[in-house]
Amino acid sequence: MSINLAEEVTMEGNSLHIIEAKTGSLVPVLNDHNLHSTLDPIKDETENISAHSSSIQNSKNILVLGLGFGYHVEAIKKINPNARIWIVEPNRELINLYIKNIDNPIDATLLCEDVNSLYNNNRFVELLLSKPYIYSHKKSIEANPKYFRSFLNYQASSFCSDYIENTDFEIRGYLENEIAHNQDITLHSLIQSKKNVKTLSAHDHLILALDSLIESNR
Amino acid sequence: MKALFLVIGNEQKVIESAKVIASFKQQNPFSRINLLVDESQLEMARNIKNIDQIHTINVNRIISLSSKRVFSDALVINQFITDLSSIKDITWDLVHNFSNSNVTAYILSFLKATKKTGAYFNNNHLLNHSNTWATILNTQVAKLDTTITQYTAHKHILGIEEDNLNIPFMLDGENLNAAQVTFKNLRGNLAPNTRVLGLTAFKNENKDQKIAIIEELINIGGHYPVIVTGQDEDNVAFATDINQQFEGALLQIEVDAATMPAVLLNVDLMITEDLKTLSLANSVDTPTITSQLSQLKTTSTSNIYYVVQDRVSNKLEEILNHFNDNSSHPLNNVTFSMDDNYGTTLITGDIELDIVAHIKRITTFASLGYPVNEVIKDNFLKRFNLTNFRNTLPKIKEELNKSLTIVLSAIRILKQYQNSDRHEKSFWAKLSQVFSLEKENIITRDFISVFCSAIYSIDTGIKEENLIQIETQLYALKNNIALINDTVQYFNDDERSSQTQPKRIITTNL
Repeated sequence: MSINLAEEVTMEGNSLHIIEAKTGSLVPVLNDHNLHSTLDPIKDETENISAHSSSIQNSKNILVLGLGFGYHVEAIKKINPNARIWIVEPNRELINLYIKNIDNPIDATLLCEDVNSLYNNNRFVELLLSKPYIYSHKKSIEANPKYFRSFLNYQASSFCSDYIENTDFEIRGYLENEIAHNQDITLHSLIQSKKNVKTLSAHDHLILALDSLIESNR
Repeated sequence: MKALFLVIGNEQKVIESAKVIASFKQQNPFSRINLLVDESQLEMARNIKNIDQIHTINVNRIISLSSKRVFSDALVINQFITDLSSIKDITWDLVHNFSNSNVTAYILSFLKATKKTGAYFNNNHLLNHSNTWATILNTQVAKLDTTITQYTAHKHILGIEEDNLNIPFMLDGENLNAAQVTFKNLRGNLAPNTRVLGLTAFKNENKDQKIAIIEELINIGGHYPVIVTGQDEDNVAFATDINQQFEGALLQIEVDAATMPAVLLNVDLMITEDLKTLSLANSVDTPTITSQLSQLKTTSTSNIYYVVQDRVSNKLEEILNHFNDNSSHPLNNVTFSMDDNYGTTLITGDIELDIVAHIKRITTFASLGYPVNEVIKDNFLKRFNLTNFRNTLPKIKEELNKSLTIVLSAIRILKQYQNSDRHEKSFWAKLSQVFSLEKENIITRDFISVFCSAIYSIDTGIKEENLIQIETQLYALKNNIALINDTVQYFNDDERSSQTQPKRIITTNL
């Protein structure tokens, strides 16, 4: 492997470079945060992961927050080789650096999107619905606290105007019409208003059916 | 004809639809029948005969998406539309609201169809019923919630003239043959005329009750209980544990949704608290004994009231709260010991709860002005094994008299309470005392069960109105007992005349 350890990448105010740990393993440094131990990153990450081994063994899907250079992910793989691993890593340059510098990148799905897009990504939604085990890579989170705080505290907007772009084409026209009358309309307020109107369209029936379905199963 | 049946509900609902669909297919042999079900019921739906295509709504996913704030409502809406995509652009010849819930009423309203049957909302947001029977189903029959009643109502809503008497489920020939061989061998080893009874042993049932029932069956004699359980590890362990109490001597059969009908067709009677088994047994006309009526009823009416009340009453929320939040229900002060002393009165006949449910149904139809004779002819006589019925007549009669005494006592207590304006608790305490007599085996648990079902349907939080409704239910119970008495008498007469066909029809004080 050939690498220029002095090379530094800067993107959107983030600084990123690589150093060599005492064991010779490569350690990325993001915004002055070492993303792994500078002594023996493999041993250190293996020890960290061992505290979670029982949960990891019992999980089909594992969501890892933060890529680093993947030593923790390799440790997870050793405990449960059959688990499907998903990694949320907001820093594309780090991903590129990882792919460029690691000979055998781990078999995992990398998700690199802004938080809002991520929660509207069907694959990610599928993953969350499968109730994955979530492992937070502490050093990655400390290096990018703003993103991960936003990720962990995310709540979808309830205003129709905020998500209309993501709705099915058929219902979009209907919602656009409703938003034209009330910019601040939410699905909940829309349903409440429809319960009291005298005339209903086909789509009103559809929305009320959805509401009844949710209410009767709540 | 392109027909779509909307059956969004639990497994029991899907099972109940099978018989209606079979009859519909018989009357419309060239129809292509589609089914809309909850995706979690897909396996059960696949067991129903005569279905050309099954469409699903992924209810679990919609609920998961809607219940978590991280997911956008766009995902919820999109999922629902995607689920309906295979049915929404078709102009159906017929769409039938089988579930009779608010959900299916709105879906029926949304869909394009030449003919819509059942309850639905029109464009003016008013509840419509496709015919009088749809009204009856929505306002009355649903409260009773037994498969046969539902079947009768749906048959009339859809204009079906003949009953389909075939088994409405896919029966794998191999499974059926295996069950037949097993039971033939079993019967060959038993004393002549021994009745083979199925007894479910699922992990959600009460183990002690099951053991008590088997002990009771052994004491009574003439019955051989077969333990029926699921195929998964937990159910097998549960059933084996029960069997071990009898040194593992009982036949134990492990079934799934596809093989249960084959077993039901080979037992004389099924004893179960499992709702799915109850519905399956009803669909293949296997007599059942259970104490689950009250639960069945509570489950059903919450939906049905919603449809009925949605546009006509502001009390909807209050009513739903009563169903959803047990703690607010005034009847919580009363303890009904449904699970104590199980066994003794339960196995006195072959009919038990079923007969009470039928009587109740008949009185309801009668109170609505429908010809009782026809209802009896349609449902009642077909339903029971007359030979077994006659054998148990003396015992039934004896218990009916006891039950009548208790109900009359309850009415007296109610009257006293109404007149004396005492604290509410004292009334409940007294009523509870009356019904605790069940423990002394004075009143049959079936009547308790029916009474409980009746009072669960009370839909007001106002004490005075509750009392009036309870009184009505007590009187109704009294009438039911009187009607059963007449029925018993009728069969006695029938027995004496040694005729298999009824000569006269019950027309007692309805």
